[in-house]
Amino acid sequence: MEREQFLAGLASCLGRPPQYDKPIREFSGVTDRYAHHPFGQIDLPQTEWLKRFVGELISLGANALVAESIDSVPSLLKTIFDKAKRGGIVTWHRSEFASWNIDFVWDEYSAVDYSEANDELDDTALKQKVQTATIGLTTVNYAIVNTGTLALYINEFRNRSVSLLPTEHIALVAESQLVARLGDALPSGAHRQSSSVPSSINFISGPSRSADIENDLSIGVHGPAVLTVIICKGK
Amino acid sequence: MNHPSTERVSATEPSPFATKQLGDKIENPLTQKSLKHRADDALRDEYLRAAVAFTTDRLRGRKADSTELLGEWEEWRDRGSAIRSHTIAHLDYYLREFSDRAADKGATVYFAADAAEAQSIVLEIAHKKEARIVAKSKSMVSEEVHINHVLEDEGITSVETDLGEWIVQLAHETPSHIIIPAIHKNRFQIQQLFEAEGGETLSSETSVLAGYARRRLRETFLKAEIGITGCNFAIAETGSVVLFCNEGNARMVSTLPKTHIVMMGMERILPAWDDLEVMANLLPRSATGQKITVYMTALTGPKKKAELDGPEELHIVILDNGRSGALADPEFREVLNCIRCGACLNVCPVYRQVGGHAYGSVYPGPIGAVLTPILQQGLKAAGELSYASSLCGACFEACPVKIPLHDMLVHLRRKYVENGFEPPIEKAAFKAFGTIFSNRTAYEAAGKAGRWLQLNVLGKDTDRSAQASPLMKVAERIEPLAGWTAHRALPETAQRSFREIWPELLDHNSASQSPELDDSYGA
Repeated sequence: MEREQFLAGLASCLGRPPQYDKPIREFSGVTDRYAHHPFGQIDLPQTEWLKRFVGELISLGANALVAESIDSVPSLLKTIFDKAKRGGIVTWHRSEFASWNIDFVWDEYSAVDYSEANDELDDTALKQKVQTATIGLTTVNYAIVNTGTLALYINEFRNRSVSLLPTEHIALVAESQLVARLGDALPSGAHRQSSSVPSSINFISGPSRSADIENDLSIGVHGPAVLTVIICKGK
Repeated sequence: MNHPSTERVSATEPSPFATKQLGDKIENPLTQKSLKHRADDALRDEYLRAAVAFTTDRLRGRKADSTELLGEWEEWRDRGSAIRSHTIAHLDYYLREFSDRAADKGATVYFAADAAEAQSIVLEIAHKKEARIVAKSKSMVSEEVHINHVLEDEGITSVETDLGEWIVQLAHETPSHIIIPAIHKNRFQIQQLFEAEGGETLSSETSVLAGYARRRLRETFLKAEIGITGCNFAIAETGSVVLFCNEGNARMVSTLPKTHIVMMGMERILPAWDDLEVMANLLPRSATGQKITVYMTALTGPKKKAELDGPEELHIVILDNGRSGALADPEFREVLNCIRCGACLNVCPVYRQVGGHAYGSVYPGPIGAVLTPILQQGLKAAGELSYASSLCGACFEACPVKIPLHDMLVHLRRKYVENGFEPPIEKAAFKAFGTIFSNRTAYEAAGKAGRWLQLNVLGKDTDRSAQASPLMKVAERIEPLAGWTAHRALPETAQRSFREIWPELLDHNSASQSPELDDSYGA
């Protein structure tokens, strides 16, 4: 039915004329207490965030690897690639990894840059390529410490499928991307005002899971069965 | 934004709780068997009862652990309740803002007064897209409007992709829990369903069954022309839709098909992103005890032009379907605060005994008993569900947004009686009760007669089984007594009534000091 008729009906149910002015709110979002103490009564100093984040990831069933510096990231990645079954690696646009010094991923391991592949393959073939890949490699926008959550903002260089279709998702996280709570990883006020909110924001906390068969936990029902997070100290 | 071919009567006619009929094609369990018969069936199913008790205990325990870990849970509940109540009080404003922002981003927004209108909107999109396969993620609203039946009738295959929902769909059943739909199925039944579906021989191992589902449903995701999801929360300030899921199917459905249809109840709105943080803490903890679901995906419009994947079209169907009836009634308005976590099911002593199917409605448990008469079936068909409750209030205690469900159940019972829907025997019983209790002589005579009848005709409660009087054995088979006596003895009335004891009580300083008097209270 017509929108204004629908909304006028609701206003009449509420016993008043339709409302066009922004309602006044006493508060929004979480309490001040939580905003200032996102780790509970005992505050967690920022120096402890990495350790806590790793703990949360492990409790979610994810793998957490800490790189002592940017130089040790390649060897960690190579170990995972070499262990993985053949099936290929897909990645976000190569430029997204510019600061990670990992050109070997495409040069030596023939990883497919999703956006480049898109020029060569039609839509169905591209979907097939990504869905048969063993590993999907992405970076993140934020990593939320108190829940072990990754936040991935999608744009033309960062597509949705790479973190979804392959069997294993590897995410590279810089220590500086750690934030305490979900509220710190939501689109900023500026984003919201300028209506430049991404078309998709994926918050990911561990590998895909289901308990739909006799409450028995199964991993990797639809999304990746393995989530590996490499956190680079000092980056 | 309007949908010209689907104009319907006003969503907000002053007819809260009017009896609406579902389409002929749709089986309505509420009209097929009585609540009592459905409950009897459930009580005889030992597997179901054990599975429901195990699952609800587990979910309840996990919720307790995770809320304790978060701390200040009551403060979170207050905050959640306040945000939801504010939104509902300004629902027209926030829906307008949401639909404007979503349209700015390229989504098409529809407003549907009822299930029939929502069905025709979805069908029209499906026909326009020449869809043959629709992939669905779990959505209670799509269950509410029976979208699978409607699509199937048009020759369009609609596949549920949540593992539990798929199991239930293959078994041609309905979900029995809003979070764990196939709670009532064991692994051997699931193995049989999957083997029949694909013609493969499988084992009953969870990993084998889940692996099979992954393989089969992946084909569906890739082939489907349309993906349908529900909407956990819609954010007014940016026109965004937020989906919570653990398996990843909601992401698949909103990423791979070229057209994405969101079906949302009109109350799913939140004013701002900041409010999402509160709900993201309340919902998963209350539902499964998780700090957050594995996937929380916020979608704003379809994919942007330069983006490489995601749907090219996004359609959002906003549904009333009786909700405005609750909005208009202050006794029920708060039910629109519900965030569909299922916590009230997990603590309900009635749900625990009978599971979801006994309710015969899309939404089971305490929330179902309140929502069902409001949403579609009407008070006559569904008001009886308000009696499937002990009114203990555990549902209110468990509710993350503090909906007083137990009060609403009482209000529903009152409306049920006011409309004259209660059974004649109940009406007669309450009439007799009123007569006897308004007259002292009648009251005393009835008490004595009752006691004599029980002792001399039915036998004492210690006379159960072999010693039970022949008349008692007959009484066990006669309604309405049988409802009680089939499972337990009638409690024996006291030897002397309180009125008879009262003068003696006055003569003693303290009743507890008199052993003689203690004895006189009867067994």
